[in-house]
Amino acid sequence: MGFLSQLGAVLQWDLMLIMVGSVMFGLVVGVLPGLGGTIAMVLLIPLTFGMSPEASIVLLLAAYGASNFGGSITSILINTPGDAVNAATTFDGYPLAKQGKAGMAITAAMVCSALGGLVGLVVLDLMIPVARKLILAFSYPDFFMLAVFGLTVIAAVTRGNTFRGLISALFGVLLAFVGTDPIVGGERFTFGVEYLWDGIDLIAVIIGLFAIGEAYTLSRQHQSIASDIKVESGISWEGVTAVAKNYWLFLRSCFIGIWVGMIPGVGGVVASFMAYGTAVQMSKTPEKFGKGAIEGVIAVESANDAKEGGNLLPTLAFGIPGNSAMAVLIGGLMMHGLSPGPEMLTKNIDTTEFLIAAAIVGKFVAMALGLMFGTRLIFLTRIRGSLMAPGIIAFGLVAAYGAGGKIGDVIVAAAFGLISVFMQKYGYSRIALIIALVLGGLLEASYHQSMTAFGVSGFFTRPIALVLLSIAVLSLAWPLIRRKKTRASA
Amino acid sequence: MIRITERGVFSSLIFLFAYVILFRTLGLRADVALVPKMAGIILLAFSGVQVLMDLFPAVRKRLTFLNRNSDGSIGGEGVVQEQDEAGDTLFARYRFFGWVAAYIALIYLTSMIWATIIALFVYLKWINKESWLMSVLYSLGMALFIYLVFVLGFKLHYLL
Repeated sequence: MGFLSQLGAVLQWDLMLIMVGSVMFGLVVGVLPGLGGTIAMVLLIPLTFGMSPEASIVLLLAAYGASNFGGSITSILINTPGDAVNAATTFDGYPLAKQGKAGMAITAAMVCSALGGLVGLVVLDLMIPVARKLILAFSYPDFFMLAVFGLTVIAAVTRGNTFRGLISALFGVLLAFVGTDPIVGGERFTFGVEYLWDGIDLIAVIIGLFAIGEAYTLSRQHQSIASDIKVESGISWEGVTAVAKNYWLFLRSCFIGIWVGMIPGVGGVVASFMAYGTAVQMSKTPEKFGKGAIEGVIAVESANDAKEGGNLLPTLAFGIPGNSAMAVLIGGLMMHGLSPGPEMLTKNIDTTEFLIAAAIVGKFVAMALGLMFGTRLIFLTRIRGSLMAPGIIAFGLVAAYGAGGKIGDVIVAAAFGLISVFMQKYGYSRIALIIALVLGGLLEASYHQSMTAFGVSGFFTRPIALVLLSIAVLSLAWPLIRRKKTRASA
Repeated sequence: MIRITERGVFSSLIFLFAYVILFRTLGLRADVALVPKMAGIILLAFSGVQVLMDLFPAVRKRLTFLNRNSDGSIGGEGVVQEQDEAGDTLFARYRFFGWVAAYIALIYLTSMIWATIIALFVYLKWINKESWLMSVLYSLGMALFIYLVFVLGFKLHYLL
């Protein structure tokens, strides 16, 4: 396991200090309803400006991992998930809290999150040699089909409305073409604006779509989710034994999380609900679920954190962000000259191993701090959303401006904040847009490289390209097939 | 019958964006324009259908399969949040956008630190109706944090 060689590099006092601070920040953001791992990372982006790539990785991943922990605490104590991925934790976590077993539920959630994250990341580490061999077999047409596959999977993300999801994705693809063209290096779609020569800044777009967009939603919440619940901090051995007793459920949920996480576009929400559903189906006492079954908490939290290992595989190996948080991570890595993709498994393999090691250590630091302070952070839910909103916007604009001191980045962030409000309101997918924005460049470059090296036949004769094309077609057709199946069975 | 709504305006803007990009491909070399042209044509067609559905309720009724929302959307993405809004909500939204625009103008005209103090104070005191003490402490606290961390810590002097 390659990450073991990097553990020493992670366990440096300065990096650990950053990790502890970042975990605390992640816990705080996770506890605040409506904010999740993506926002935690977006808000930390400006802090990475003066840092080394290693410190930046620690900062971003520790906060992202810890936000899951924070979200589960509010799910259990006040029936309010910190983020959508923690929604399924409320089903049994809150009934347990009402029965006076909040300590047990929180401990089980924290242990499952940490161990689930460990399992997911170890599996990721074990898969790297396989992924590296696979990547070395990839050629231009395969990368093109991979980008097409990534885009079509967006259809799965936008099951709410596939049509508007595709419009969002195409919008993102076109935005990716703004700047310099990959063939002759001339400026394209810049409308005479010098700022656009480098293309539309990914970080500014992410800040706008997620930080400013969410801040608008928060600005309308004039009441706090007040809570006077008091729970003792610390470990509940009952929670630990519950996890040990349900080790098979834990492992099964982890693998569901890893598998779902690997599919680009399918988020942690699916992983947690799928794990919960499987736990109910396979339980000998399904009637207990929803009334305070600790198995419900174990299943959801294990899958939730294990999926991060799965998420990181397409992100690092192919440069395809599995979700919005991974898009932020890609942006953060790119700021430090690291471009996720095949190089991360070859030239920059040490950085990848460091990243895995940092994420694993971060999980255990988050577990320790979560158990010590997590429940005390519940007071944060008394802060009104309308009070958080201006602070998030100020920080978001600093993040956009601080990266390069360009007012253009601030304008882009604000413009996409506005676009985000309407996208959310009218059922367009922000995740589809951001994934397409990341993949647009790969799509175009690999298309031209394929045509030059192989011609049109390259797309239809190479086995990898054909497999990816088949999966892409299947993912587009799947909603129709499913609908027909449902109708037939009805 | 045509029905002009905010939703229709938004989809029209996406349509317009696709049209402008497609139009700009006319002046480019064929190979440079190829992929943007393909993506642009598809977006133009899709967003055109969306505009028709948003502007003409009769079209929307005929194309119900394109407007279907399932319960399985992920993290609320792709689900229409609200159909109708009261006037005061609309006003609050545009006031929010106006405030963000003013904030950016202040950043451009003064500096990030001064803009943050002024914009946050205005938001808290007059938009959010907070107390004087809260408005002053919050805005100064945020500006001080930015100054200490980014200007002194990271030497980003252009924030001043």
